[in-house]
Amino acid sequence: MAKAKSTVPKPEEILPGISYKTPAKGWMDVKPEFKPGTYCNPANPKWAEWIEYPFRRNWSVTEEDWHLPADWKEIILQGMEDRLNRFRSLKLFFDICVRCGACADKCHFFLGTGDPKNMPVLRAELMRSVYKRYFKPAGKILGELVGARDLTEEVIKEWFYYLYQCTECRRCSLLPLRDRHGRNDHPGPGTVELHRGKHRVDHGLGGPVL
Amino acid sequence: MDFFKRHFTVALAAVLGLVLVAYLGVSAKLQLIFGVVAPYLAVLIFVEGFIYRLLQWSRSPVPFQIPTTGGQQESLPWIERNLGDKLDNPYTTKHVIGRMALEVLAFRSLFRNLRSELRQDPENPGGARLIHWSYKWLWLGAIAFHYAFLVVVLRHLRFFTEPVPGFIQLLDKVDGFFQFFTPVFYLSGAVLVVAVAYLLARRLTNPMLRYISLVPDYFPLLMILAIGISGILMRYVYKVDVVAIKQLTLGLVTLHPTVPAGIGPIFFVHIFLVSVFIAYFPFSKLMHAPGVFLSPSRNMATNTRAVRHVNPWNYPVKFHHYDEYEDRFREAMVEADIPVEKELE
Repeated sequence: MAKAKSTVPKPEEILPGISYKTPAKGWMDVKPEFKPGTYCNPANPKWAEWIEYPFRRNWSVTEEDWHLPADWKEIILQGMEDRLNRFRSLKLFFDICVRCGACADKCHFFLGTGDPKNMPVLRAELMRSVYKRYFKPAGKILGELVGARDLTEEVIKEWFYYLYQCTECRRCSLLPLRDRHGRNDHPGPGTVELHRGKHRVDHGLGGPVL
Repeated sequence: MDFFKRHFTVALAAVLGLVLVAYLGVSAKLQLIFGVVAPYLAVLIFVEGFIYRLLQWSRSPVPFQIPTTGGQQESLPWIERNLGDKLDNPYTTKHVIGRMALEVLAFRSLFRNLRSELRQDPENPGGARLIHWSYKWLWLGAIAFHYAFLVVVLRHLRFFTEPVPGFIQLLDKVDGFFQFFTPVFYLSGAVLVVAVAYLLARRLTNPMLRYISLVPDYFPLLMILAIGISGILMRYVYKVDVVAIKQLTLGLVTLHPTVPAGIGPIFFVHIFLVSVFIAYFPFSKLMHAPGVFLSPSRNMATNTRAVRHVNPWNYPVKFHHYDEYEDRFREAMVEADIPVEKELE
């Protein structure tokens, strides 16, 4: 415990640094920075074993190499396709979000960090960009112009970082499409549907890989 | 070029390009293409694309009851619920319909929109204070835009009907209530353009919004703006032969297309932009129109406490029962004075 206290910043240290200004670079080019206190650690083998979950490997968030399995990309895309076929909410909200941005200042994680990728709309876009790239003709052809991007290890790290920063409170979902958007950003590893369906967040989309 | 500039420029260039294509096309005497082929093709793509998208969505099941809820949920009889609670947290189909109607007709959920800002806090000079306040401008802009668009579309029906039905004539009269000059000035056209301009300006000036906006966000806004402006120019500035246009549009709906001579090029620009817009519709975020009705978080009742919902593809779950838990931790529990069902042997 003592060790954790020394690395995790205190509220007084974080608060003055919050501002709602956007980074100079576009969101596709900004990489997540794993600062202490902003991410969860991967499960300890002991706990995974207890609840009879498969334990894949020992890895650490702060290391450069996450030791992803060789076929991680296929696993993710297959998982995404499977979920698109099983949840209308996911497919529908991926398709109809108008990015009006009304959800932004409803998210306490956005308000508390000022990180634009914590706006529900952009958090959803982190996954939606991959959906567009691999499941939509427009994304396959036009790429970045329609907000599509390749699935890379950096994207996985970004998902891990931002999707787990959502508690699925669904406050954003009280707004119009938006939150249906709320539903939209759930489709991450921590989809509400996945949550209920699979009982555990890490069994979600990122589960088989992370 | 940075992300924002690239996305905005591409959308703007696309719209200007379409205008130019139509203008050059008319100069090259391709009236038939822009006045007849393009609209027919657009309607065909629209209908097919629309149905395709609806089928695509409906192919995926809704395994869980996932309405988004605000307000007090239906509960024990002595917990009161007012009408607001019933509409925010619907328990019956009637209230689900009421909620959807409020959403579709009044943009109820956008009406809750807030705005948050960090302000200097006088009581705490080192820090800032988070302030929320009501923010209805987005709601106002959105609702003005959608209703103006609806009126404009309905008004255009007079080009496709003969005789023109009474309700369209009535709408025409109401819409043209402010007779500033001749031809009659339509309020809806002005509201449409102003509201779209506001929505676009909002996207361009709010840094966070600009940060998330992509070509598919700018493109429809610019298209609608261009369609509105070309329509207004056609009506008030570059007067076109309305009788000839009606001949063309009636020809389209009666499947006897003709292209009468003497229609100004701006009409073809207008109809070509509309055609592209219609064809673009089913493949874009504009599908939020039918999507609203299909949204599981909006079209379901909050009756999860009263009705059991079974996930259609549920697999047999291996439950971890309390006795197993206690078997595993009995020693530790006894040690910590936690009561156990079965004592240690």
